[in-house]
Amino acid sequence: MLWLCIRFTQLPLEARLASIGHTNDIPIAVVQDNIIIGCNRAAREKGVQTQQSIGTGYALSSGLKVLERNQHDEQKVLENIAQALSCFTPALVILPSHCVLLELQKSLKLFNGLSEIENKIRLSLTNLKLTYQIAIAHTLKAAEVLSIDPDECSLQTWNHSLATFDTLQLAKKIRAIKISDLVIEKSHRERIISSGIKNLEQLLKASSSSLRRRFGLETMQYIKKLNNDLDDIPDYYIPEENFNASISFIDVIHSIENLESPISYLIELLVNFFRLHQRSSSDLLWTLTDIYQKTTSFSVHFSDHQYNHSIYLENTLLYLSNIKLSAPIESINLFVDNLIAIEINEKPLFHQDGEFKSSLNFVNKIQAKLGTETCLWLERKSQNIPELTYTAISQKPQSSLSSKNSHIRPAWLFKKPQKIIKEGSSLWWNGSMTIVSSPESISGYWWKKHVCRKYYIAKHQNHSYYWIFHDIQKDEWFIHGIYT
Amino acid sequence: MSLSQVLRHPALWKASEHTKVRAAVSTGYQRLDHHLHDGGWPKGALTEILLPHHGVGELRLLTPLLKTYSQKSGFILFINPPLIPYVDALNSQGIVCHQLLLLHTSSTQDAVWAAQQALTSGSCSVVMIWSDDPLAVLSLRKLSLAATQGSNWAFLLRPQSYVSSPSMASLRLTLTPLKNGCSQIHILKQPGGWSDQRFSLKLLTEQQYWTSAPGSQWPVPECNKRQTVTASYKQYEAPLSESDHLPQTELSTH
Repeated sequence: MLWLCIRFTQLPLEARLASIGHTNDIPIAVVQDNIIIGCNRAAREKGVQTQQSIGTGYALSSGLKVLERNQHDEQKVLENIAQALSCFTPALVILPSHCVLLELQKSLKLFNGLSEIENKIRLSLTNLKLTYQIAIAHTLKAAEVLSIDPDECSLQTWNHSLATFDTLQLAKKIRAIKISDLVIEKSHRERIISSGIKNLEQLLKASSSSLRRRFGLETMQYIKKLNNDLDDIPDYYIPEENFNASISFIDVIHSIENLESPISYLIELLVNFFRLHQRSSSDLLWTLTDIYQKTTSFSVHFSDHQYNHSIYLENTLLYLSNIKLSAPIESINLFVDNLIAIEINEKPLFHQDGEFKSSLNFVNKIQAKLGTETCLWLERKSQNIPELTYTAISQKPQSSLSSKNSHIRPAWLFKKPQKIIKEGSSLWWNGSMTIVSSPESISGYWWKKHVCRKYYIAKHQNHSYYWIFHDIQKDEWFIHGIYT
Repeated sequence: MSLSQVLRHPALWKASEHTKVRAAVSTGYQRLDHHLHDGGWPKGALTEILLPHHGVGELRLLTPLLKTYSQKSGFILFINPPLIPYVDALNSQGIVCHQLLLLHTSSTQDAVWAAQQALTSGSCSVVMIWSDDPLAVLSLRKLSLAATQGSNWAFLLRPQSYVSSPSMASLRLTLTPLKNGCSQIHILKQPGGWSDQRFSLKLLTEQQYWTSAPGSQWPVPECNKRQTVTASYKQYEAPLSESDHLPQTELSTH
């Protein structure tokens, strides 16, 4: 095994600086729990250092800009790097110590040796402006620990002509690892140091049983994994799958109609990609770039996850029909992420599907032309206030809650109850109404805006039956539904 | 084209042939089925229902059909419904709501286009279109052809003011509420059958329990147990001596 570890030593600071896009001129410090964990050169020049308190930082530099650490941004940076480096190997690991590790043994031949891969990695990291140190070792844990060395001495343990480690040199480096650098529990580390052991060489002299008895099972297993005496199965990083394809036109395109052919080609590539990876997605993101580099994006939504070239093309063209080009188009891009595995429905060969299909293609077409919000399903919610019992959603609900109400409800419901005019004992809404039922109390929602209503059935002068209520709190009458 | 060829055309109605060749599904109302030549809602055809206003029993008229087809594969599409269908009410009528789709369009043209897509997709069993705006004959023709192509049920619900407008719908009827709580159906046009038939249907059966009469005027059955028990309780509430104490069993049997 050949593990290459890239340790990003200034990641908390550099990730924050990248997110705010700041220059190096102002002294900046990144803090966590009021302790400085990273600072830029301007701050260092003023004497600010890591592990100092914010107070000390301000005392040293009154103009110090303090930023709270953002671990989410840091993780995102590491994931982006891992995604970019996944072209060298599929075996990638991200560690909490801001390390990205690559298992490169099987990639050596493809990339003509370690030095070539190293150069390519350094080249791809150049634009990111991140501070890093590289180390190599025969195990993941050894590479992680050796990457602490700023001189990157571990790289010298590789014999480029034989494409193997110089075992003697590597063993020497590993034996020299300081106990303080081991990634084990702090209490265990302190116990080892307090027992007079300073480096791994001294620790390895002890037997396994002795290590386990004195410093715990976890420490013993860590040492064994570091020294390749025990198999280490890490949590590999799985790169996010997506499809991204573009076409740039030598001769610009002036009309929407002429885009049909390139769109069809990109969809063909996408369908092949889906077929090959057995994936699908519910959204296709199209981006048109005009000659002034102005981009127009639109997302084509599908209610089901069945990929089909003609359906994709038809719906994309429907979306496109709503777009007006302001300038000739120079390039077109199709991006698809959030890929999901295709469900394989095993049906009998002569299965009868029934009179009508369950396909949602017509919904996709309608949503493509008229908009996603126009075509909706009603989903029952566990509420008893009538207007809160449903929600309109653009995706088909998996299952619907059934109501346990025994009262007769109107088939039509007003989106917003309409006010009824009450004069004396008579009720008026587009004509007079007479109450024909006993009241039914509906109340609830007390935690937000208390609702207390008495519902009645009323017969209108036009012979229709309406569902009306008396709002007890407002002392007002409203019409809420129609029996039909 | 020879006469024999013309006579073979499926759209030609022949008075001499009374056989019901057109597919239809029962409306769920025996009386209505009896008056309809096909014995139910014609399949693969556009049916136009003209209403004086919304809420005259139009949904209840179609509930048996909606209930049957909401429980099967295929969707039910409501295009531009005037109000929101109340999920609880539909559930209580046996209509499965996750097969029901609502579509709101900004123009009649879009509504007709969407209805065409739904009807010809083979995925919709019932498509109901509400429209207060006048529809061109061409639009009605499109809907009618789409329903024929998809072999499903298309219903167009329009104001009664369009009763005299020409329509391509195969079946046309008006629905009017009556004072007695029934709804009057007037068949204006139907394929292969007699038009201008009028009859009433009781669509909202629950209304027999709804009355504005005060409680004192309600009819009370002669042998009303509740009344007898109330009388017994009145006796029981009276000051009692030990001797005229009613036995517990007697009280409970009243």
